[in-house]
Order: sequence, then C-alpha cells, then structure tokens
Amino acid sequence: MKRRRGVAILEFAAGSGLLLAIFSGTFDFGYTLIQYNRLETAVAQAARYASIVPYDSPNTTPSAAFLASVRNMALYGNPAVGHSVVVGGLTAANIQLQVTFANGVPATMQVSITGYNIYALFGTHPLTGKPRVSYPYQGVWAPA
Amino acid sequence: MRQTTSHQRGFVLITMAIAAAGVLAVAGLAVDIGRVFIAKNEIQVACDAAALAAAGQLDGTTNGLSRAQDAVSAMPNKWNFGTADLPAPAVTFATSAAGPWVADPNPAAGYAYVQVTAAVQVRLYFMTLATGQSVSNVTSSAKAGQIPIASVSRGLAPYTAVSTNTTGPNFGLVAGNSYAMQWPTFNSSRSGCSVASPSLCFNSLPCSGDSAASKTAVVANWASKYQGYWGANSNSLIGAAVLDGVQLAPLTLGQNIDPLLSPGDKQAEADYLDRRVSQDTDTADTTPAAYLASTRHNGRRLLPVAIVDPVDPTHTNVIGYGQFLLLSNGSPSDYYKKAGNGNDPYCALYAGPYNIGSGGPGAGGSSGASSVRLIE
Repeated sequence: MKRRRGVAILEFAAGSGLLLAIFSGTFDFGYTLIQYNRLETAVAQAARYASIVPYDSPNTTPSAAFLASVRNMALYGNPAVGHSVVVGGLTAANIQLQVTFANGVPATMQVSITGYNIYALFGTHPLTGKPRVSYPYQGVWAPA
Repeated sequence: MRQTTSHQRGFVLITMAIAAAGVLAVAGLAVDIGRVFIAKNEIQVACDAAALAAAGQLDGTTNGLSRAQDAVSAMPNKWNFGTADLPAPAVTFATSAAGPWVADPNPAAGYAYVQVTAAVQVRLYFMTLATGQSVSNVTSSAKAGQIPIASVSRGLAPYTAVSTNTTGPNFGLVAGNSYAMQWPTFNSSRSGCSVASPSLCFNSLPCSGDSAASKTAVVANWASKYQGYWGANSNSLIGAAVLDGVQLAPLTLGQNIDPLLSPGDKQAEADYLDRRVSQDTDTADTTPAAYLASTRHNGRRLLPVAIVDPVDPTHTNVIGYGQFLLLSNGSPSDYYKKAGNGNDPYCALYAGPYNIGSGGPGAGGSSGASSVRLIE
C-alpha cells in the first residue's frame, strides 16, 4: 500500500508540472495580449484627441502643452494629469507623437509607444514603435 | 484486489490527462481569442480613422467621393500587431446616417456620410485542434459623417457675409461670386444715397456678388456703425482671430451678433488677411473651382465666416456659416492691406459650406457648418 500511495504522488507531481507549465504559458500569453490591447486603445484615444484639438504650432514640432495633453490622453484617458496610468509602468516618455504636414498645414497625427516593456512571466516584450495609430488632422490650425 | 490496485494506479494520471485537455483548451482560448480581440481592436481603429479621413473629403461632388476613396487607401494604420496592411476596405456613401449605403453615387450632391468596412482573417493555432476551424473572420466597420452644427466656438474669422436669404446650405450665395467680408465706408452725404439705391451710399462700390437686398439691409441697419467686423480691436487679438480662429465668443444660429459688431482696426485686419493668404501654397488660382482642383491648395485662403442678416438697427442675426476664398495678387502683404484704407471693401469669393478641419468646403447641411464625427 505504501508503494502504491507513492506512485500516486509521483503521478500527481509529473502531471501537475505539466499543468503548471500550461497555466503559466497561458498567463504569459494572455497577459501580454491584454496589455497590448490596452496600449492600442490608449494610443488610438490619444491620436483621436490630437486630431481634433487646435494645433498651436507653425511646424511639425508640437508645442509643449499640446504634446503633454496628448501624452496624458494616452496615459490617463484624459488631457489633464490623472491618478493612475492605463498600463502599469507607462510613462510620458514612452508616448511618441509624430505630426505630418501636407502643403504646409497639419495633415496627420500619429501616436505610438516606444521603449515600453511588457514584463510577462517568461520574458520581456519590448515595444518599439507599436502599437501605432494615425488619425487625419481635422482640428483648427493655430500657427500664430 | 489486483484489479482495484490497477484502477487506483491509473486514476491520477487519467484525471490529470482530462484536466490537461481542459486546461489546454483554456490556454488555446486565451491565446487565440486574445489575438482575435487585438485584431478586432486594430481594424476598428483603422476603420474609424479611415472613415473620418474620408468624411472630411466629401463636398457633394464626385471628385469629393474619389478623394474620400483615396483618403481611405492612404491611411497608414496596420493590423496583426502593426505589421500588416488592411486588405482594401470597402467604402460606401449615404445621404443620412441611416443609409442606404451606395458604393458610387452619381450625382453626389448631399452625400455627407461614409462607411468603411474592413475584414481580415486571423489564424487560429489552438482552437483548430478543438473545433477544426483554422481561421476566424474578423470584420469591423465605421461610419462617419459631416454632422451639421448650429454653434461654432472656434475657427470662425471675425468677419461676416451678409445675406437676407435664410435658406441653407448656401443662403442664396453663389459659388465663385464675390461678397464683402468687410463693407466699404458708408457715407450718407453722397449724392443719390438712399435705402432704395444703396450702392451710392458707399465711398467705394460694394463687392460684385452682394445682392440688392443685402446692400439695402446694410445701408438701412448698419449705416456708418458697422462694416461687418465683429472681433476685438487690439492688434494681437485680431491676429489670433484671423490666423488662429480664436473667436471673441461662440456663435449660434439665430444669435443677435449686434453687440459683438465693432469698427475694428482696419490696417491690422487687412494685414492679417494678407498673412493668412500667404500661408497657402496656392496663391495663384483666382476661382474657388480652380483653387479646390489644385493639389497645392491647403485651405488657408478659405475664410470661414458667419453669414448674417441685419434685420433692424439693433438686431443682426446669424443665419448660417460659409467659407470664402480670399483673393491674392501673389504678394504676402499688400492685397487687402493696400485696399484696406477703409473706403474699399474686403471682397472674397463664396466657396461653399464650412466643414471644420477640411481643406475645402463641406457637403452642406441646413446651417452651412458641419464637423466630422463618427456615428457609431
């Protein structure tokens, strides 16, 4: 009887090892995907916001206030500084805004994530230039 | 006894195997469904952006429709973790948010709504083991349109155009005709000046397109008080108003603009109009049609203003909005300024309804003003 009980424990050990591997693998993938999805949504919101508010710079370098409000939109879902960031560890420096001009007027607002790492169980997924979303600029340009 | 033992020995392993199959299915769900969700999010964002870009191009002409199609193809948004281009989205148009949606309407008048639909196939890695389904079809669509607005708080220049016709979207104005943004100096002592022959009451002739009814309304109700300007009097505020669209106050349909009207500072007003014109990359074309057809135009010469009806000496009502093409002689500083000694009017050519953020006129609505928005 003793011997048989030991076998059951060994079986459980082997089986649960497998189960644990599958579980943690699932978590690893799932967590990464959820974070990526949140970032995608945050970036899209920021780009949409940037595309409708007045753009107060005569060239493709946005004003400090404009850049800050777009970054806050990605970080907090609000143009002003909020309490908690949408994804842990995300900072303003991770959020890149690229303004494209056509014929001398603003045409596209592109927001992307750069230099942010998703720390999953088995590895780190660095994000460089993605997620990235562009919206056509449809606000009132204020160059002066 | 032997039989029971062998049963007991396999029991844990069998339950583990069953559990493992279940857990593997869950893992597959997490990975595959996760990827499907991200694909859905990515193409939804791409459709939203494309629909907005397309809606901004609509102007009631078939040219506007093809520009809308081009705008959809030009959008750089990708899917599959930002690696793959969207397979050619379907673009359809409608005259209202409810549809019906038509791929290629002709004539295009009134088509102010656009729908963009994109479909992608996401490969499934785990679900295929359970269900045999190897791909998931993910479809997204977005509808956007030029929604008529009654109130404008940013973007209008501090001038007005006068019309006594209150029917939108054009208020009796004819595209290409010349209308006064600022009226010439009123002088009641000129010979022949009367409400019946209003053109004789100005030191210079009014603009060629202004109707007799408009001139009569201006002479009877504005006279020497106003010339159509409603901004501030300080230099820097005039600059902000003309170049940046910073309004003294929000305007709403039906509002009496009389308390806001003022004589202004004509030199500064003219100077900033010339500066605004010089920010355009097309200063050569002299008609709205040629200007809008040019690929170099960027919209800076289009001046969005309120269209007003002076009904009595203390009431000038906002009846709508429109965009007017500012004129240019190619010089960045002396077209309106030279004309701006106060005697001369500032004339501009009516281009069409005002759609906020477009490089051209909008498709038109009852108010003559619209903004591009997503519908769902």
